[in-house]
Amino acid sequence: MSRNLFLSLLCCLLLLSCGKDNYDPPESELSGKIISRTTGDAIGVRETGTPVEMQLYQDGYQLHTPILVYVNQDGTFSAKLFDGVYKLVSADNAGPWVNKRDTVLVSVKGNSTVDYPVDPYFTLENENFKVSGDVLTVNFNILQEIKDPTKQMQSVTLYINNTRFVDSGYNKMAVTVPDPSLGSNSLSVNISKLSSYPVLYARIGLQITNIGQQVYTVGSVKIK
Amino acid sequence: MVTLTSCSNFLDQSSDNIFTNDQVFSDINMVNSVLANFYGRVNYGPSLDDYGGFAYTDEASNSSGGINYFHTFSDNWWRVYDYGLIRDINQFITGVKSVKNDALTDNDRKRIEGEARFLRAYVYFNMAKCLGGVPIVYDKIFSYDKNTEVSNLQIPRSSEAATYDYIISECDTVAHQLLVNSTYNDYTKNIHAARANKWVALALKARAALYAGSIAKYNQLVTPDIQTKGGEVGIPSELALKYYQIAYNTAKEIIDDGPYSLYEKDRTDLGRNFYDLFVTKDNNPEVMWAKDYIYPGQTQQFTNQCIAASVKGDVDCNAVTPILNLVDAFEYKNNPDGHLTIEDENGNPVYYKNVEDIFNNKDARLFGTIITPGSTFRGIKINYQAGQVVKDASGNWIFKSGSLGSTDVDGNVLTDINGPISSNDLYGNKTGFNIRKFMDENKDAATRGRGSDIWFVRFRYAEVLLIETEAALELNKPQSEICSFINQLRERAGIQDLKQCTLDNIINENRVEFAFENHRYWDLKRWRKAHLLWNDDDNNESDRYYSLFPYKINSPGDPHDGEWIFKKVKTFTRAFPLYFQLRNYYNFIDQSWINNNPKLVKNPYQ
Repeated sequence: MSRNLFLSLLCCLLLLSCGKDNYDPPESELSGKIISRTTGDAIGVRETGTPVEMQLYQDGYQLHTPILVYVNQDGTFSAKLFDGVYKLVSADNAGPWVNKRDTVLVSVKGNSTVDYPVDPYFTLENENFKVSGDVLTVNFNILQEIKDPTKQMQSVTLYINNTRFVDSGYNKMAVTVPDPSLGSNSLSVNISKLSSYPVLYARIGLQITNIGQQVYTVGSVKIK
Repeated sequence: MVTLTSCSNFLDQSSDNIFTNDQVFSDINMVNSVLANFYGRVNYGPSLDDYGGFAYTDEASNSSGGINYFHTFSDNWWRVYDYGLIRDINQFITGVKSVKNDALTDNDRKRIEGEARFLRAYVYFNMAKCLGGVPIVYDKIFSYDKNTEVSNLQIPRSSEAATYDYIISECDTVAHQLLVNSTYNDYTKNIHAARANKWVALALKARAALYAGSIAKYNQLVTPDIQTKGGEVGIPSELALKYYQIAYNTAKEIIDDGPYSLYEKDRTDLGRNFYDLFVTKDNNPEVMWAKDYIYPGQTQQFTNQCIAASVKGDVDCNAVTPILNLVDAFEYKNNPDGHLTIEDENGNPVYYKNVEDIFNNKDARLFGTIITPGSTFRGIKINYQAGQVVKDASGNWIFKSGSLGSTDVDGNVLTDINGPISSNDLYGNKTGFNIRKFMDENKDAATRGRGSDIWFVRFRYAEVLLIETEAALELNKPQSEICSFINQLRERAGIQDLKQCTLDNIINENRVEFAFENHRYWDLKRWRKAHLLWNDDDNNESDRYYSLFPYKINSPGDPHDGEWIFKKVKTFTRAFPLYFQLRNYYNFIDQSWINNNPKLVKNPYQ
């Protein structure tokens, strides 16, 4: 009898203390992608280590700490928010594009989408990975969207990793070609060294002078 | 009837742990204890208290234990923001200037103010090299009451150039006015170089000016996008020559008029001489300012934690050990390429009769900085053996190794207790070397209970010579003059003089002279070399961590029996090469500071 009384008293206390946490968690998902202003295509970036960052600000509050949103390999990003009006802006020098940091006003009501247009200096497109025996042949296009003499193509690298996360920091093989040319490029690589891995993904990254982050092909491609 | 009488004031007590200015400045011992507190609080960055920090430059790796997955430098890496200390110093300075009594002479007051303002300038310097321009509060002490306008407390950031100007001018005032009569200007009276004197203030002035000059020049040349509109980050390149000139003049003043010289007591054993420089606390002619320790009282655990396994005191050892990359940076007496000869041109291993022979004719500073295989420590020979090389049935060499301290069936050493080994072993050595600089030869200092009282050197005369060399180079002085300074360090190290000195020579000289003295990271930053060298490339042998594995040949009858060959091995306990990004040149301004002071401008990449 006294044990039941004790348990019911305990439950009452717990129910009373629940009164403090009276906020529901945010439910509305804002998703979108970084796109080229001219072509409308998504921009590929490095995902690992969350180097490419977007910021969400909201007016009407005392402090201005941004909500940080990190960009994925395929240029997409998402955040779970409360409904409201937000300002979306890229972090300073966040990625391989002109550092204009436009503010995009986005009204979040339930699940919402938003695209963030930027002016990338160069993009990689029409990538094609073909494995024949031990040789991987890659064809891709380099397109220049913005002409800036301080932002030149420094080198282009083929990255291969054993997970779908492939970039300059996470790869089992990296083959670099310095001073690439605009337009169509081709590269053949012997991947017999990687035969022990059951699964392989590949990506191409372009290093631009004076820019911290490389521009990559959108996402990674499974080649094995 | 109850009468109410007034209570005695037995409840009124004077505080016994808060001192008024009158109390503090009425007694030189009180003043010293406050100053000692300030001296103890300017311990920023890797040091003998934070030896773990040595593992994050290309000098050493964590050794004991498992794999370190460190990859990128965080945005607040080694960041300094110490306005609490600045406020305390400002209150102290106001007190020493305003309190009038006969206990302190005018000379005393000037000296005390000088030491405090030096420490304050040193705090600003440590903030500036992390953050760029910072708010300068000068001598102000802020107070807050209900009438205070908060926006007046929110000081905006000064420009990076103005911040360095303030540090330089404060050091100049301290050196030429306040500390000009300090008893401690005679280094034999500055016990264990613990206090700042006029020469230390000039050394900070020279270092700050050199940093400002190189940031002005190389930011524009190499990383021109790293700047803010208001100049909080980014010193205009037109100012580079002005700062180099200040560095040149100031270093010259110390060289020409100062009492310091290079430590060269032992000219027969140059390696031992270089080691002695760092452990000789009494009447050391080269060390200008150090963080001192004392036993009993306040010791540090560097020796205990980083010592080699075969000479450890308790159970700890090998916390952080030097990497092959640093050993390769030390030149040979007559060859500027310091790479150890592990293989010949055809890729075959080179045989060495004794394990120490591979280090013959190397820069003597190597032997003073690092414990190499076959060298002695405390008179005991320190062996490193990764394994044995034996012949298999077909006559091919095969490499055999075991656990730490293992032997073969004949009782010969298989893998030495000192390693190296590629494993997760706690207390195991993974690189094949141990740090010798600052390592205490007192046996008891290797125990947890006692610790070591070896000092951590912050400023020494050798740096003044290298500052002069670099400033002279950037000011286009004649090569004969430029080389005359750097060659003094090289002569002390027993290596050939330079006839032509380039920035690359200076970069390497700084690397081998100041290993484990918390210079490398800041130097690579100010030259804007860090992102080029530490470029996240596993195939870049300057970036990836390497270890040296010695193997002893065990093949009786073979002409090479008993000889040694070496392997260059990727350091097991580091998963990734160093990755320094453009965003790492300046730490981020913390959001909490901005919440308090919205006038603070964010740094690039934020």
